[in-house]
Amino acid sequence: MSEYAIETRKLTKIFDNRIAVDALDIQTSAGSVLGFVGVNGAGKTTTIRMLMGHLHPTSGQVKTLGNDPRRHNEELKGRVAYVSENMNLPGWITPEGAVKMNTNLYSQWDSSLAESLLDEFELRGSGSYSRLSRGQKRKICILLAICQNAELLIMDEPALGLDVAARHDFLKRILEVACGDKRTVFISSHLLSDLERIVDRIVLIDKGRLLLQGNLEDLKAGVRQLHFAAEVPKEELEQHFQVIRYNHPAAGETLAVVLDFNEQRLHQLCQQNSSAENPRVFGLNLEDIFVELVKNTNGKNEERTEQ
Amino acid sequence: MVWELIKLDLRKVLTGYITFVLVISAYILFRQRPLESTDTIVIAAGLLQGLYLAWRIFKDPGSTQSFIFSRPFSRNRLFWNRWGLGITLQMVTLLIVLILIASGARDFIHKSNLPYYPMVQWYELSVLWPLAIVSLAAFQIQMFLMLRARTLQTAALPKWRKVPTYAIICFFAFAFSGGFHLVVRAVSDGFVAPIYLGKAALFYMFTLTVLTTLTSVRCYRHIEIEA
Repeated sequence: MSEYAIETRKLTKIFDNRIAVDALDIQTSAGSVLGFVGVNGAGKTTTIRMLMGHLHPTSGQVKTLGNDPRRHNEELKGRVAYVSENMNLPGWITPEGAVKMNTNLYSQWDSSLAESLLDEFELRGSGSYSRLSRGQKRKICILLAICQNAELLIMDEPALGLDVAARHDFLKRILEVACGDKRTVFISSHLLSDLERIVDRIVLIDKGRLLLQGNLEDLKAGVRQLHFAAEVPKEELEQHFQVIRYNHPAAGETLAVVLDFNEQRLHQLCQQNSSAENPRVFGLNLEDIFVELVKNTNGKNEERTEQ
Repeated sequence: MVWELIKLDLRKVLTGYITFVLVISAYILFRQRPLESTDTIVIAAGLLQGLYLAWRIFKDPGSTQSFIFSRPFSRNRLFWNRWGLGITLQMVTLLIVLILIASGARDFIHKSNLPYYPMVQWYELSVLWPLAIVSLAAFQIQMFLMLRARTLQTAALPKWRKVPTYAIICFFAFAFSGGFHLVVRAVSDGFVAPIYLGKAALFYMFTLTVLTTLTSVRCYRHIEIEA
């Protein structure tokens, strides 16, 4: 039995000679809230579909709650709640009908929560699914996933189409779910400011490859933007830090973004190069960190292509 | 059987199916001459019924696929429920036609036009066999082709393998159609079909059903689900 709620090893998916997911290694412990982040086409949805057993990996391994999602299909689906980006219910079903259907399907179904969410999301009596707005459709999918009381909640862009108030409610509910005993939440979203409020772990991918994974707080503590009032050679900076951006915003100035900042290393740099003294140090939010990492990767790829 | 799943599939198929049953019932009731096992309309209706049921039951609109396939049913269970529903609906059609003919409803409507009643009434029951056989064959072949085509859509399969695989499927489909033609010929020779239904035809139908069902369930385990 795997100790991880989600585990992939060298997970690869190739569509018609196009690599969608490239040797991806992800590990998520039970009870964590993991944010899965990448630009459009980075391979997030493909990865999630493989976690659900909806797609077959070209190579590599995937384990969801310690099981191969393709083999332990029925038992596993009862323990995993899923909301996908484009998920739709049959057009004729009403929100109440969908709740009733799921009540009969899941042994852990929370009926009282479902009833209260129907009222809270103002879905009661709103008619058949095909007549609902996009936001209301998302709300039903989220309601069904949350009330399932599953061990693992996998959500692919769940807040897409929700207004600010609904998103706020949704995040609150996710936090409540995450506080439950050993519940794991795996959430992919472009709304990084939302993710930043709820996740404790983060996985960043780009072009199907893993850019970074780790605790959000550790990541945020390590990534810093350094603004020097003098030109500091890149090679010198790289002796002390892992530099993901380096440029000169003005003549005689240096701007660098580093991944593994700490005061001791900065002190060593200042001792080595006196012009590097007293830099301005800024922390970055998740969105800025993500942009810097993606730009850095793209820059390296371009360099490789030119060579 | 999962009742919730059956309800989902029934909702997809019910409107078309009821329309079909009403049309075939009306044809059987109001046809002036006695029904024969070679009745073209009945054979065509059986064909359409099989194709329609397989298409509607096994086709999930793209955006509902991820919903259906993330509910707690295994692929096997999902397949057998759907296959069972298709077979059951075909049997219901046969039962309705049987009741319409055996109850003497046609005689009630066309009393003056059916001079051989009740002998004609039993003779007319032979129409059930082509209806059953054609509908079952169409259902099985349509199901098999749909599910096999969906497994071929998987991007993991290289393009060079898709062409010969499609060619093999087409060959088998034509072979099935040829066999089906022979079966219809065998059935149409008899007055009371069960007596004249050759062992070869029965063997053919059995083989067709078993092979297409087992191949389809295997395909169902491997199809990739759209987002």
